[in-house]
Amino acid sequence: MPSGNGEPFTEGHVREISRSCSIASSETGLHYSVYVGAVEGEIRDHAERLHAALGAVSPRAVLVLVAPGDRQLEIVTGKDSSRRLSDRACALAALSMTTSFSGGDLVGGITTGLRMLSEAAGRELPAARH
Amino acid sequence: MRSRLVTAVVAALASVVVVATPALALDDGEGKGKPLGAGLVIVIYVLIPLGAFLVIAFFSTLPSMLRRPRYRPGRAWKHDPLWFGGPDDPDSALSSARPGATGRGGASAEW
Repeated sequence: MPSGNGEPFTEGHVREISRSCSIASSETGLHYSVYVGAVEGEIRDHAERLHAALGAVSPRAVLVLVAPGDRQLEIVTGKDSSRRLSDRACALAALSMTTSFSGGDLVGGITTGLRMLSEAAGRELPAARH
Repeated sequence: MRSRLVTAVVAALASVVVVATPALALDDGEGKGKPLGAGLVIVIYVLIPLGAFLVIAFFSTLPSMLRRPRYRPGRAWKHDPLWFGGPDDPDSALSSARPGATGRGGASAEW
C-alpha cells in the first residue's frame, strides 16, 4: 500500500459515501462497492480483480473503481448484477460521475453515480412464483 | 428721490460685500497646521492599509483553509486506497483474485 499523504476525505465525506453505498445496496438488493485509489496496470484488469475479490457477493456486486490520479473510472458488474444493470446504464452513470470529477467534486460524483446506478437497477423483484 | 437712489445703491453694494465676505477670508487649507510626524504618516498611509488588506485576505482564505485539500484534476493522487463495501481482508482477497473471473459487464470513462 502506498504511504498516505493526509486523508483525502473528511469523516463526513467517508460517511456520505458509505451511506450512499449501503442505501444503493439495500434499495436494489445488489452489492455496491466503491474503490478510490491508484490503479496497478490496466484499469479494467485491476477493477475485475477487485470485483473478484468481493468473493461470494461478486455475482450480484457492482464495483466502481475511481482512480483520481489517472483520471479513470471503471464500473464492473457481475453475473447477476449485469442483468439488472445494462452497460448503457453504467456508461450513463460513468458519464455523470466524470463530469463531477472533472469539476473537482469526487464525493458528489461518487454519490450521484451510486444513485444513478441504483435507480437504473431498480428494486429487487420478489422471488418469482412458478 | 436722490436719497432713495443713494440708499438703494448702498444697499445693493452692501449685500454684495456681505455675501462675498467668506470668500475674502483666509481659506481653511491655506493656514498650515501642525505637520504629521514621519511615524504617524507611516502608520496612517502604510500600516493601516496593510492591516486592512491582511484582515480581508485572511477572511477570504479562511473557508478554504478550513477545508481539506480538495481534489484537483491532473494532480497526483498519493493517498491510501479507500474501499467502501469491500471485503473484510482486502489484501488476502486480492491475492487470489484474477481479472475476468467474475466481471461480466460495466463501463469505463475518463476525465
